[in-house]
Amino acid sequence: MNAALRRPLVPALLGLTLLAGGCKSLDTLTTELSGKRTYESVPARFVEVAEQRRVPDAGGSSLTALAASLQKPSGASARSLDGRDPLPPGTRELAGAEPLQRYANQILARLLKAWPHAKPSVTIVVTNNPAYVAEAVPAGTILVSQGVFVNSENEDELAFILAHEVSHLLLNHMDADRQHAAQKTVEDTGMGTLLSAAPRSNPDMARNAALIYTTYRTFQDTVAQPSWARQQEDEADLLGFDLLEKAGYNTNVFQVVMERFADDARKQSAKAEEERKALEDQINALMQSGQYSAGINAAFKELSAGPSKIFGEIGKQLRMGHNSAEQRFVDLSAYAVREQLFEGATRDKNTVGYEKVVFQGAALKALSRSVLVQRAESLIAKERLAEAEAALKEVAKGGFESDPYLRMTYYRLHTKQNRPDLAVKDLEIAVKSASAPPEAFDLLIAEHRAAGRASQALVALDAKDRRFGGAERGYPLRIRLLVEAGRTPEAGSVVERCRAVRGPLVRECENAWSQATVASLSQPQ
Amino acid sequence: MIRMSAVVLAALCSFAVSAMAQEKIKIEKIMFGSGGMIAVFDEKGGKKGELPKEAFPSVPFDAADYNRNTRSVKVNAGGQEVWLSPFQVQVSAKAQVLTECQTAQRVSGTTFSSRGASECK
Repeated sequence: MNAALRRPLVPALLGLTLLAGGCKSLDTLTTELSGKRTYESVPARFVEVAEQRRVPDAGGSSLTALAASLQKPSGASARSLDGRDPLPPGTRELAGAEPLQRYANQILARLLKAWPHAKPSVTIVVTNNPAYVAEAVPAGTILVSQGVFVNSENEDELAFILAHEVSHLLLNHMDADRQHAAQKTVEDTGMGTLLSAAPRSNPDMARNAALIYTTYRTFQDTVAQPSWARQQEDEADLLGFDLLEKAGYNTNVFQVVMERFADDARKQSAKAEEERKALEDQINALMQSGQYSAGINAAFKELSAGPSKIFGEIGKQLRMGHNSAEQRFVDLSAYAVREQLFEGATRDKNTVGYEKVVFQGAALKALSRSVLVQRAESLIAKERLAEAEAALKEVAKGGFESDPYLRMTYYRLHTKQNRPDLAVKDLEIAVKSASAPPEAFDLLIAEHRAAGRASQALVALDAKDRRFGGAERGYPLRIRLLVEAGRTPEAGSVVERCRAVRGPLVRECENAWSQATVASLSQPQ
Repeated sequence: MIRMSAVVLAALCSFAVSAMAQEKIKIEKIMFGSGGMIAVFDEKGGKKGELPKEAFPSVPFDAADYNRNTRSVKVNAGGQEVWLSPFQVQVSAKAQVLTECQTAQRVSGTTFSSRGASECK
């Protein structure tokens, strides 16, 4: 193509790409900048107009299909134990939470009676997260933390949290996230193609186009999309409030929830400050005691953690896209006053029923096991070992002696108490459990290896491979262990198997092979 | 010794509870409607009418009463005692999240102190 023709083509195509993608989120941003609150843009009860504000299904959209065709297929994602859809990374279900799950499902059914449209299929997962948090995730799943159950004082409070999360599903907000991701993929790919089409004779044009696009992308990711996400949170608050009110619950609980969120944010920030100060004190003490290099190392660690911590915090805020709890308190209160919904605040809260389900029997057992193990973990970290041991004894009393997570915590306690035999025994019990995580095996392998028991470490590695598969990833470690166990020919054949796998793993295997061999030669016979 | 500590602890707890009951709830903010008017209610939540902004003392001020279940507050406004809905006010009594120690205490009834029963800090 003629260069003179190509020159206006690039900016024109770039402009079209940006126009196609940015309109929707710009719309909500304009509303937000005008100072208008979300409830003010809805003149009536939100539940009556909710269906109109539902995000269209992304599944069949051309944008999603195009993005899917542009994306490289990713590897299989992790699934939960019972084969349901994958849970977000790092999410762990609370063991024995079935009574809590059943209770939450009953509350949800009561809330959804007020929803005049098709009822979605929703799965509630109770997680072992101690924080006061709940989250709607794809595939119609709501994650409710153990922290929500422990902190809440009545069914009504839990009901508002569930009402808010199910509102995200009813308004199809998950598909908004999918559409954002699809839009980003299409735009990034389109931009790449456009840049490669830019005439080589005019590098300035390519540079300018790249600059415009980067600015646009930053604006979308840091300003426009979070604004849209905030609107979605507001909508989930409004619909959640309506579902709560129509289901006959006390409605002032939303204020309690917002106050707890605000308190949680305050406590988290105080904790972060405390941790920072403790590190500072540690550095000062090291420097004053003359251990300059240790002090400098610690200071460097703090410095290098600084920027990533700050960006992490900013990212967290942006991803959450929530208004502050105080703002949400004010907005929902104003909505309730505008709609004259005073009666809902005077209803009795179901405290007795809540206490009966959550703080008795099997539910309490599940909660206390998890809470006490977590408490023991943090007491161990603070070197308050006697208190940690008392907490763990309480858990063990409930018939959970063989629970792998309990045993792993006992392992950490016994390590701190300088009782290595007991510590290894804890891990050996842990890995026998069907629900033992891979980390239990890793710890046991490391313990055996550190104590010069390479053969026993190999036995543990075999057991891990049988349980979780993926033996290839463990080749470098297997090579080292075989050499350390004096089984060098076997180690050589693992190196050969590793070479057949190809990829970056081969280098790791060869490094392991050469390092282990050198180490074995330098050891005194 | 342990029994005595428990008695002292129980006495301290009951003192703390009664102190909390007597704690004054402050009204930090009143959210008036457009036109500076606000709906007022009786104790049972029945609407009594509307009062102008000028009828209320300037915030913050002590509430005459506070209902923990309904979160409504009683105030003296314009020479009469009226109740305000929780949606119209922000008060000093705010819900909190439990600390880790309080969480453990809630699910197990103990703080696991090495020195016997103790309060969470």
